[in-house]
Formats: sequence, C-alpha cells, structure tokens
Amino acid sequence: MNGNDTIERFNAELDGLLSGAGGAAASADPAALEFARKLAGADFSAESKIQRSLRARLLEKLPVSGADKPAKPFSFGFGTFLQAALAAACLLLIALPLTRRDTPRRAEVPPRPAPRVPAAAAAAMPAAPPPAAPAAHAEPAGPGGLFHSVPMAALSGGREQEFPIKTTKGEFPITLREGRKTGGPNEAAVTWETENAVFILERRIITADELFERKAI
Amino acid sequence: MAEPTDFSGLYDLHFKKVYNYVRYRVRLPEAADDVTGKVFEAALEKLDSYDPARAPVQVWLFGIARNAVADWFRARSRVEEVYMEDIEQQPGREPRIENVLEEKEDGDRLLKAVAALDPRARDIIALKFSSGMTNRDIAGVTGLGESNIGVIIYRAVKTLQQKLAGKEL
Repeated sequence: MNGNDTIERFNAELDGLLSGAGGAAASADPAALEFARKLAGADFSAESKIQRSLRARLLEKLPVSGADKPAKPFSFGFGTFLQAALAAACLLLIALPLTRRDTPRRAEVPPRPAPRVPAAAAAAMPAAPPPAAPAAHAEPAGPGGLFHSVPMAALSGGREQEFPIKTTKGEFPITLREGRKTGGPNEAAVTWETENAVFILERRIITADELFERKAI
Repeated sequence: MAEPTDFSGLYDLHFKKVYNYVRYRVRLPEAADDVTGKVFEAALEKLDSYDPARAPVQVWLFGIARNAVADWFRARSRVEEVYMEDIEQQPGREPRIENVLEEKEDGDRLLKAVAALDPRARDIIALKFSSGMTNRDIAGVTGLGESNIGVIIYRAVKTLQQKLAGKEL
C-alpha cells in the first residue's frame, strides 16, 4: 500500500468515525485513527460562558415568526386588526347598494301602530288626528335612503296634569310644570318640563349624519 | 441529517462545533466566546440570504466563522502565527491542582499542539474535528482541493500524534 492509498483509506475511516459509522476492521493506520478518535472527542464548549446568554440575546433580536418566537396569548397584531377592518369595510360596500335596492318605497310602508301609552298619560294627550293617506305622509327619502321617519300622528301640547309614576318603590306624583309645542317647518315636538326633568318628544326629519359619524376608510 | 431552518435550531445544533473551531483557532476561552458571539450574530443577520441550494448550512456557517476568526486577528493587527508563538512563550499559567484539572490540561496540551501547526493545517484540522464536515465540504469552505485536504489532515494528525506521544489526551 503506497502513501496515497494510506491517506485515502485513513480519510475514509476518519469520515466513518466522525459520522458515527464506526471504524474499519483493518485500519490503514490504526495508531493515527486512534489518535483521531481522541481528537474528535475533545470538546471545549463547557468552558464557554456565553452559550445561554448569547442564545437568549440573539433570539430576542429575531423578527416575530412562528418558528422562533412563542405566540403571546391574546396578542392580536395590528395586521389582524387591519384585515378585520378591511373585511368589514368590503362587506359594507357590498351591502350598501343591495340595501338601497331592497328598501321598499316610503309610500308602501304600512303605518306602524301607535305606541302603547298608559291610560292616564293618554288622557293628557290630545286626540290624534286620523291618519292621512299614506302618500300624504310620505316624506322624501334621506340622502342615503337607508333611514326614514316613522309615520306618526302630529304632536301637540296639553294642559297641565298630575299623573302618577309607578315605580317599584311606590307611586310618585309628578307635576307637569309646562307643556309646549315647538316646531319649525319640518319639525313638531312637545316639551314637558317637570320639577326635576325635561322631556322632549319630537318628530323631525333627520339624516344619517345626525346619527352616525362618517369615517373614511 | 435534517438541517434546521430556524435560527434557534441552527444555534442549538452548531454552537459547540463553532465554539470548538474558534477555540482551536484563537485558543483563549474569552476570545473564543467573543468571536463565537460574532459568528452567530452575523449568521442571524445573514440568515435570510442563506440559500440551501448553494451549500449545506454547516458550510455556510463555518464560512462565517472563518471570516470572524480572520477579522479577530486583523483587529489586533497581529498575524496568527506570531500570536500563537507569543502564547507558547508565555510563562506557565496558574498552578494546577493535580488530578482535578487533568482534563483541562489535556485540552490545553491539545490546543497548544494544534497551535503549533502551520495556519492552513490548523484551520483544516479545526474544521475537520470540530464540525465533522467531509473533505469535500471543507474544500468548499477553504477553496482547496478535496484530495489536498485529505493529505493535509493525515499529515497534521501524524504530527499531532508525534507531539503528544506518551501524553494523555
């Protein structure tokens, strides 16, 4: 066996040794291979003082990723919020034209029944005029067509009356100090002022902007 | 062996190998910590640009380690050979307690013997025995021929064997 063969065989045996495959039965240079085995077993890493701290420090630098950073409970990133907001906006944009198309015309809306009023309170209210023809009560649809007024009878003030307010603690008479009718060209309202509070019942045309705040997406 | 693509897996699998390689090269434990830290910091920065199709992760990582060691010597404006000679000429270290630090003495003897090799053989022996890479991979890291690597390894092992003959390792 010449020198090159010895070197080739030694390197093949060394690779087998380092990969854990075990040594050859008849080594090209048993003494050198035995020394290489000791050399391969040398490990100085126990003397390192930074192994753990370096790992922790470097992992802190890592960008957030599923593989290297544990997920924090209840942590919803801005991306998630943005996605949800965009999804909601898209749904709204899709639903808006459909709603406009499906909204029945104002004239076709049947009048709603009058709200239930206690007998005593009803006595204080003037008799409502008979409902006019639906077309007469039809009001122009709002700018968006989504919101419209509920047809109701005209409101007006009445004389001062005492009426009991029933609560769980008993009956408390409330004296009506003033009742007046207010209104403008498109408004009608009745204001009741009692000793402790003011109640306003009004009927007027409103727009969606008065109820909701518009936000640009 | 499956190669981890996440940094923590890479670190756990290769820290000891990289540290041992650096230790063979710079010898001092404090310097080895310093350089190993720089190796993994650089690996973290470059991880996104690593392409598994070009080279195994170990080849890529030890390429970074070789550069970090070279930078360490360059930063001290000292040639590696001179540095190692200086180290060998230093007076004896602290008194050792017999039998307690025997293992450490073995390690020191080995490091000293490896330090006495020429720089190229030192680099290749460090790569071979710390990383366990094949000669082909080492050829990829160093740019030398695969058969040349085999010759250097065999001769270096024989040299170390003779230097440390009769001494426990």
